[in-house]
Amino acid sequence: MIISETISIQGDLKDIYGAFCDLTLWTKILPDIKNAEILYDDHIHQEFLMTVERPAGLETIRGVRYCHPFHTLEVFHPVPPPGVKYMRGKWHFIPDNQDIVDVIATRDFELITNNPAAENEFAEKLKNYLKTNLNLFKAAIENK
Amino acid sequence: MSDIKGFKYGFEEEIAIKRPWLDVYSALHNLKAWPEYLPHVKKIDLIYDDGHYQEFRMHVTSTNGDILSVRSIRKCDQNSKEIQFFQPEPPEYLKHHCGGWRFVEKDGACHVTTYHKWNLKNEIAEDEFPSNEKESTAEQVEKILKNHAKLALSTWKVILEEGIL
Repeated sequence: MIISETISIQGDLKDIYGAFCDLTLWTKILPDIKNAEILYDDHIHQEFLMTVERPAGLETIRGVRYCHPFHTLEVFHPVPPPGVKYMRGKWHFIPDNQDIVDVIATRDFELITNNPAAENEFAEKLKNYLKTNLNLFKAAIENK
Repeated sequence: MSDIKGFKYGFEEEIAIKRPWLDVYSALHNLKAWPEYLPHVKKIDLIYDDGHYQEFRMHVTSTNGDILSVRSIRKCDQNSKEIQFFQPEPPEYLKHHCGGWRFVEKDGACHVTTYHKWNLKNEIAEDEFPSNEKESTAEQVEKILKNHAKLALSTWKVILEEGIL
């Protein structure tokens, strides 16, 4: 299932892309991210560990990203979250001509069990999570 | 992707394989079968594969007979006829290493271009491959990577053209 959330952020495209690209900023922007450790970064490919505060406690996830300045970031998780077969996604950065950039976050996932109700519930939670994070990025970038 | 920036060194090698491009792409995509066909690949530990992204650890025989273990992460895109890779834990003498394969069908053959890009970890590279009157450190590293790439391409050509796969 593919889901997406969009937000318009006022600012320079390079700054906005840079905020999403620089994983070390995530701990400052997103309060549930407790730690980000960069394992590899050649400015195109990134491998990282991110420790996230979940209701059940701290969870460390491994991610891989492909950075395409200044238009797209791709991500996938080689060890998907519990119950998830795969989890991958993108952020697209689409500038308009008035110093506004539309950031479109998409996630493509499949659960291990074929359960449409569970999939819809998961999708709804994921959409809310994406929306919250996009709003936090917007606030951090526009109020800096 | 083959125009990627930020890498000081790189090369491309091409070979024509007389098979449809999708056969060649599929052979390179299906890494679980490599130990059956590639003599230097002893074992593949598949860590992740969703068809588009793959992560695996490959155990290969080096030129001195030792078994080397290499972890690679790949993005396989059938639509753009390209497979890209990077090594998050490259050999000690490399700081970064990535590359890929592009597949173009023309004149009844699949033209496979492999490309490699890398940055050196200078101190370790200079220690392991000291410059001499014939070759610099960088040239020696390039020769190693290029020889591996050429060997892989020519091996795939034999496997695919002889009908082994």
